[in-house]
Amino acid sequence: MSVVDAFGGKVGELAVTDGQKARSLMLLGYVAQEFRLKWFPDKRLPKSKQYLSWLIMRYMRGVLRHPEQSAMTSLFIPCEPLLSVGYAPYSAEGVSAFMTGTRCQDPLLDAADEDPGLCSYHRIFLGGTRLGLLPTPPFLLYTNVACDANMITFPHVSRTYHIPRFCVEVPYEISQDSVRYVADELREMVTFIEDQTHRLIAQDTLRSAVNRSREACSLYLRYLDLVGSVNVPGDVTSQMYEIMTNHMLLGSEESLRYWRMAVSDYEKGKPDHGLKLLWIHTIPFAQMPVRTLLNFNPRVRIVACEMSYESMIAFQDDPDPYLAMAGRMVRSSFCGGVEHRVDQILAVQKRVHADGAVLFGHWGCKATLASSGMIKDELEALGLPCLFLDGDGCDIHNQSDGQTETRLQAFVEMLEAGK
Amino acid sequence: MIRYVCKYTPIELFAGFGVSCKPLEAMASQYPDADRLGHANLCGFGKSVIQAVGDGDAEELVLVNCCDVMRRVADIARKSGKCRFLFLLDLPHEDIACSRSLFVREILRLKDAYTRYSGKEFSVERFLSAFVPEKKASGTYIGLVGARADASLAAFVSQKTGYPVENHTCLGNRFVPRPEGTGDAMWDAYAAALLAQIPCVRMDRNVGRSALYHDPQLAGVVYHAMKFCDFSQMECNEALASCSVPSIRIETDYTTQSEGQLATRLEAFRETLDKTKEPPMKIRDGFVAGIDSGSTSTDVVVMDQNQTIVASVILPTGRGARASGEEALGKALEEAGISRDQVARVVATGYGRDSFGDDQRITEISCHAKGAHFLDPSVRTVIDIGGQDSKAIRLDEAGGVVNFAMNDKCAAGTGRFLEMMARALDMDIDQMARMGDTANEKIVISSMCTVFAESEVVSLVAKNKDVGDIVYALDASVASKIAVLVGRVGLTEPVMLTGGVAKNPGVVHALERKLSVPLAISPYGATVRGHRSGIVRLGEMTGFPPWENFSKTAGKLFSFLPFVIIIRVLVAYGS
Ligand code: SF4
Ligand code: SF4
Ligand code: SF4
Repeated sequence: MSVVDAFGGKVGELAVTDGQKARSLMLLGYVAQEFRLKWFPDKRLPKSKQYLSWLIMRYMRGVLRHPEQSAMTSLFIPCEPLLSVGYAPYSAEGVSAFMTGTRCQDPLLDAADEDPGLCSYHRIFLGGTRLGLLPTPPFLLYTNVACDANMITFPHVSRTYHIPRFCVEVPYEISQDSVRYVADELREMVTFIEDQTHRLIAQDTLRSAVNRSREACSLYLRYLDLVGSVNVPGDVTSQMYEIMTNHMLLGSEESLRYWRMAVSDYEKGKPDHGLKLLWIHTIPFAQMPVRTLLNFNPRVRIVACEMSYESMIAFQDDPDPYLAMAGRMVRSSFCGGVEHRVDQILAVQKRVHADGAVLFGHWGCKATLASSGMIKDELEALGLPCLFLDGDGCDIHNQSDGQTETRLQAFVEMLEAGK
Repeated sequence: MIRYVCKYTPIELFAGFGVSCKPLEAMASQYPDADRLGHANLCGFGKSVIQAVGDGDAEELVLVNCCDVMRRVADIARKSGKCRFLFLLDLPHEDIACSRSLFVREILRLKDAYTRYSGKEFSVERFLSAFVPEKKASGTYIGLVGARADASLAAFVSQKTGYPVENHTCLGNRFVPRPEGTGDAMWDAYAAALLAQIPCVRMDRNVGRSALYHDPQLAGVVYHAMKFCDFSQMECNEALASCSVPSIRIETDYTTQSEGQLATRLEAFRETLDKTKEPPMKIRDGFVAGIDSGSTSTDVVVMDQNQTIVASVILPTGRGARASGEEALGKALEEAGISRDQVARVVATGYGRDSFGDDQRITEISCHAKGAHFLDPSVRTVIDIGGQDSKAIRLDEAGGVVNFAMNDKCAAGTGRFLEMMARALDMDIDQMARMGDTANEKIVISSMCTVFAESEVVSLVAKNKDVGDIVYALDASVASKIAVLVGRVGLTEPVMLTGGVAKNPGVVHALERKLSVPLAISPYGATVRGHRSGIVRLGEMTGFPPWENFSKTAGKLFSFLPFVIIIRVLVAYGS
């Protein structure tokens, strides 16, 4: 049993009887980890990714220590307004992934077992809040992107703990009308945040935050152009952290700094001829066979992950910060029909030239599961081999290590044979 | 002919085109193509729509952007090429000003799309004359709420509960008043009226919904939770907690396959509803007989008015429930040396109870409750882990059922699951029961699904894991499944464990660890329901609380213990 397993087990055990105490213990662990990552980083990682793992650890520690200065959000909510008032967004899905990385997810899943069919990211969020391992935030911001799970857990938490909430509802149709509609909602959201925090969001501050997002976004696209031909060693955990820089932290100095560093690492990267995978949907980054195969493996690597690019790839510049943020939501890969999602995959593929795509069917994610057949067929018709891999990003009850290992390896062997 | 699925669909609009609409929501027994085209984890309703499209039953289809499932169903329908007209109407989650404006836009977009497709003229007069007045229910009724229930499910609930049913799910309570005004104002009013309906399960604010629970005419609430419909699964507990009338959760996968189980639940619910209505029978003379008609064996017990067991018989359920019941009863009467005329009442329980007369039936849920109460009146929660079924029952101080939950169709959390795992481990169930009380290494059997769990077990054996540790993990897996059921009814101490699996110390201890409460084990195990139903009825009939006679009967019952163990093994592990 590794140290992480033992520590996570302890936190989980304690969470069942005393959530507050468990949180303090977890916080202690995070502080230690932050220290380690700062002074003894993983030398196999490039500078940018070393910085990234420290950054995310510090961020999570901050949220746990100062929950009153944070707000629980859905991953797909634009966070520039929150960052502008100095509040830390703390995404339900991101935090759940982090809990899974800490290996304390089991009791949290148990504490939210009324619907075992619900996405485990949301069950962990719910269970963690119930047990008090996750602090009760002062307010909630959520949206119907990318799924119904948000529309279920956020209202539930709000009702149970009497926490004010604001929902940004994104229309189905991908059009400029919808962008304007969402921009109006975002204006209301800003007012809501101002009311909740008793602070004013200065237009200039907001504008600079959105400008930073814009810059991070163009750096990210530059990274996508580079990653196809050069390699910098990496692991799946960094992929998961990039989801955070591209969502909760998008618009912050730190996110921008990361992408600057990353692009410079890739500009210096070595040409590479290993296999390249385009990863669709979430990554079960804590699952052993996935780590074994994809961490620091010169043979095969992930070049792009849908959770990171979903809003960036369709970013359309607009001088109005609200329209810019709204555009990101409306044009997300998860909006509209399945054709839109496939179009976005193809737009990324044009940049990264992956050898194959892995479509991860996270248990409980009805939207992705039901489109998996269509996406696979489309991609294969266009010449991109696609593996449908089902499993669960967090809940080991829905994972099978043996199956995952066999399928992933067979896919890699198949792609290598075809190269 | 337009097919539609949702009460928020502007069907009056189509009347304006002179076109008729027909709901698409009938349950079938299976949806063979839908798993392939969609995914097994979609809600059954989504599957039924995919199936209907594939079968060519929905050439003109209007869907709503109700949930993740419906969005994907629309994609699949579009791709199938089988819909000549397909429209996905975007539907906001809230009834507030800006969502109404969005919805008006959607209605007009639908109107344009249909005009383009059909070339038909729209007439405002036809449109306005399509609105019908609201139908009001009179008299007491059962409210059916939660995830979509079609007319057949509503009728089934009505038949089993004996009350008229108001279907408040998706299409059940559609009412839209005729909009006032003309032009834009009329469309605004129409959109507003559509959105102002009693909100369904996927709508964001549940305030409007909770009004349903406070109607003075409401006799009880049946909440339909659909498998893989997160909206209904998540709302269920919260909704039931806010009802002041008796309420119950039923679960289906939107197929007609679960009727047997559903019938048991609903009949038990009827017993809860009738509890206050039915005066106890006063019969002070004669014998009573209880029949437990199980799928494997039929048990009969005859008692006299002192609650002394005078005969008991166990026969395999060979020739059908009715015949086996009669045969066993005949044998028992012979054993007791009495005639049929001397039996004041015969009560049947178990899966075969329907083969007996109407007044004789009582569900095993109520039997279990009464039986446990008889054994120990302080018991408030009964957990029964049987061969095919597991249940958790919460009791009131009189032994009445307050709430109960049963496992769904799959075998996880039942004796059958253990039996299959024992087979995978190449041992028999008794050997298995002797193991697994302690573990050296912590193994997690992650899969709840029997088939997957079996392959997990096989691979653990291949890895040379200790068999005792594997059994320990299997016991824990059963315990966690049971804990979910207990959670649904609300754990209240003291807790009694009945059923064949109660003989398995590994499972008992796993369950105690999981629930953090001690479990009292019923000495009678799985199959004394026949005895119990006799006891139960006798108590009710004589008007005496049954436990007063307990000491007298207990001595007798204990002498059946070896007998009971045999049956327990037979029944619980499906020999
Ligand atoms: S995995 Fe799917 S269901 Fe879960 S949060 Fe993500 S989009 Fe929603
Ligand atoms: S749940 Fe609501 S929105 Fe969905 S189909 Fe039913 S009535 Fe319509
Ligand atoms: S039953 Fe639930 S998941 Fe299925 S279509 Fe209706 S709301 Fe959606």
